[in-house]
Amino acid sequence: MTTTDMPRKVDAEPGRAVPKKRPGVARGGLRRAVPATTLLWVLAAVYGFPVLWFVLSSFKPAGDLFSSLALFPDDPTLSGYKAAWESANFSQYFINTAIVSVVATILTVGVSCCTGYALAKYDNKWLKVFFICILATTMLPGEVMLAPQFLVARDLGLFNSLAGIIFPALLTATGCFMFRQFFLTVPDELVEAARIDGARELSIFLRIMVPISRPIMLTLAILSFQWRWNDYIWPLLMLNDPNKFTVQIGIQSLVGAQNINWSVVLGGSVISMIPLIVVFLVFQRYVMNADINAGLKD
Amino acid sequence: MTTVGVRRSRRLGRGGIRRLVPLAAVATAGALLLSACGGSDSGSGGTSKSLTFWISTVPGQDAGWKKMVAQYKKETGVKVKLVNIPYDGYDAKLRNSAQANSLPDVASVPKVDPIWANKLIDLKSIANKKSNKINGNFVAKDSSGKVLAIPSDITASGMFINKSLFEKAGVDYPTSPDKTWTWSEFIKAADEVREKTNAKYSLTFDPSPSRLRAMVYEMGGKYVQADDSGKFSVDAATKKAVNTFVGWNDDKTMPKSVWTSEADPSAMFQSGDVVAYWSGVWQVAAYAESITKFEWASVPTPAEPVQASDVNSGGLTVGFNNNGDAAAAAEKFLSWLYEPANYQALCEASGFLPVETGLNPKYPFKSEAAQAAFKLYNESIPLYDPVSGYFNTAQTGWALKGKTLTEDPTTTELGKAINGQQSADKALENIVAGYNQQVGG
Repeated sequence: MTTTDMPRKVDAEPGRAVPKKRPGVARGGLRRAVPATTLLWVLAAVYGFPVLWFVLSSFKPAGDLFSSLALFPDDPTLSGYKAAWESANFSQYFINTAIVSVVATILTVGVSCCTGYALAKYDNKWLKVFFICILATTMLPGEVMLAPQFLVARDLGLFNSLAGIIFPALLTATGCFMFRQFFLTVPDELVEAARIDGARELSIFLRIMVPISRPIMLTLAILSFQWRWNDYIWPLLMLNDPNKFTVQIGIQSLVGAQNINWSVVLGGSVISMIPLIVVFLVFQRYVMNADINAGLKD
Repeated sequence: MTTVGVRRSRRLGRGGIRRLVPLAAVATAGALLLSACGGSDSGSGGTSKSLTFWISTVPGQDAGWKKMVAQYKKETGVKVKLVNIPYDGYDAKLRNSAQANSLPDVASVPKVDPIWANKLIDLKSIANKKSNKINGNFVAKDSSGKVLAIPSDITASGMFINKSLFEKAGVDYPTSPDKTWTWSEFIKAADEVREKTNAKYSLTFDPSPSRLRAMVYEMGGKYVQADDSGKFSVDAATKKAVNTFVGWNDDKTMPKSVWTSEADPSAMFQSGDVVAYWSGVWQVAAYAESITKFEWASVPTPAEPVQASDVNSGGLTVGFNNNGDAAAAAEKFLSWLYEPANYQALCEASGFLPVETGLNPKYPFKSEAAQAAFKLYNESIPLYDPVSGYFNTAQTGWALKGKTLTEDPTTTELGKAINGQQSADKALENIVAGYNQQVGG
């Protein structure tokens, strides 16, 4: 017998029939849902409208950009995109940024996962000190750390290399904190049970902890990819060779000291947004569908 | 939640360590591989056969530099690698590159920085060469007479008008710097045009200390200047001019939003709803392409009674002493660049106002308004009062003393005055205090 032949449990027990929803309740639910949904649509429109205007404006000729406030371009053109693409070596910049973003994201997730697990599940006073040090980095403005970070990277021989952008970015306080908080919610009984079954520490981490932390990994991956893709000042300071420049340096070079060709900047900015949007669309599905708590809370 | 004692373990089994070793090895190999992606070509320390040249300009407006390095390669066989660095962060990048011993061989920089000023080669032979006719007022020197930098071009403030609105209103405007108008006459004319054409504002004015300095100079003031002891102050004419300026910000003659909340004055002018725009001469190249819905024109800068502007260097060309061969090659390249014929070619292709006198550049603009604007500025600059170059020279002097005006308080303080949070006189007091604190003494 196939499972489809099986009577549903509720049907098999007439005495426990599923209570029918009262019409009043449905109407009440609808009454509550309509304002909330409307509010969400209004918010979406408020946030979405500037982006829509921005994207549509990128198809306007330079002469129309400020003389017409119409949403849609009268005479759509790709000249801004063409000029942006031709103005600098954008294809090379995309390759460089993709290498940096992908490698840094993979390593950031890996390092943060290991660090977060150690901070959550191992008892050592130096780990606590280390955790406080990591948290302390979030309390300092980025500019304060820029000069010492540069000197360290330079002395390690990372100046003017893509590695110089990737490695200093690996240990992020946000990532470590996200993983630590997640692993704190995982019952220690799970770890102890695995130990009793003979699992070694690395097996416990790789076979049990890493798989259940997938939602955090994907969330951090999206964030990390976005950080690295949008990073500007650090790559600018570290890279001298234009063949190693990243997309954001290319975009910023479209903005002059005195004047800005907005048509070209808009085109370049839209181009630079595309990979981020693709990454978000691909990964957000996993994050939304995943149960972040994984049903493992105490 | 479980307790700490139960939850945590000190164990990391031997097997775990054994398995960690290959992972660490892979990570280290990756690091080395990525490190190998760079390093060797640091973009500096060239040879007699190759140089690195940093510029900061909008792509498309680097045509002159590209033309000149190609020409130099053709004539001498020396390759000059042009690197366009974004303006935002260029100062910081130069400082960090100096720390990393990775400065370029030649650069066009916004200003001389005390951090790397001692690494500059002396350009005296180029600046003093009689046939070059370089305007000495804009050359950056130290106290010993060493020439640290020569401008690639010079810039000044420029008044742009919406010619279509002036014609629609039937209001005249001057066309020759010899017969220019005063600020009072200009504002009166612009207000009249606004009223007759229902334009939104009479004038937008860059939120820039340089633009304010130009206006103050033209009204007979000296803005913020230091005495022999290095103490800054303002004169009565400056106070009067600044009070007048603050008064114009009434959301009719001028929009308050530009100086108080960073509204874009250029975008406002390009919208066609503004009668005039007080900005820099570099707008000409952009407007030649971007304004298509109305006719625009550059008009002579007002004089009340002083004919002046705030004349700056568009970029300061410097050579860095990375090593003997590269330094000699850099000086040779710059010497070639400032030869009048080559320099004129650079100015023509880049749309530069020349620092050398006696040139007659022919600019490639298709726009008649742009051609007329450049002709006007080339005629106007020699007429400007010497006060016009004060700030440009002072900046180099501060740098040589190890000081820098990191943040000019002008825009912030006058923004507060325009907002009604303080008087214009109080704003000037605060501006003077800011100058004294940063570059005084």
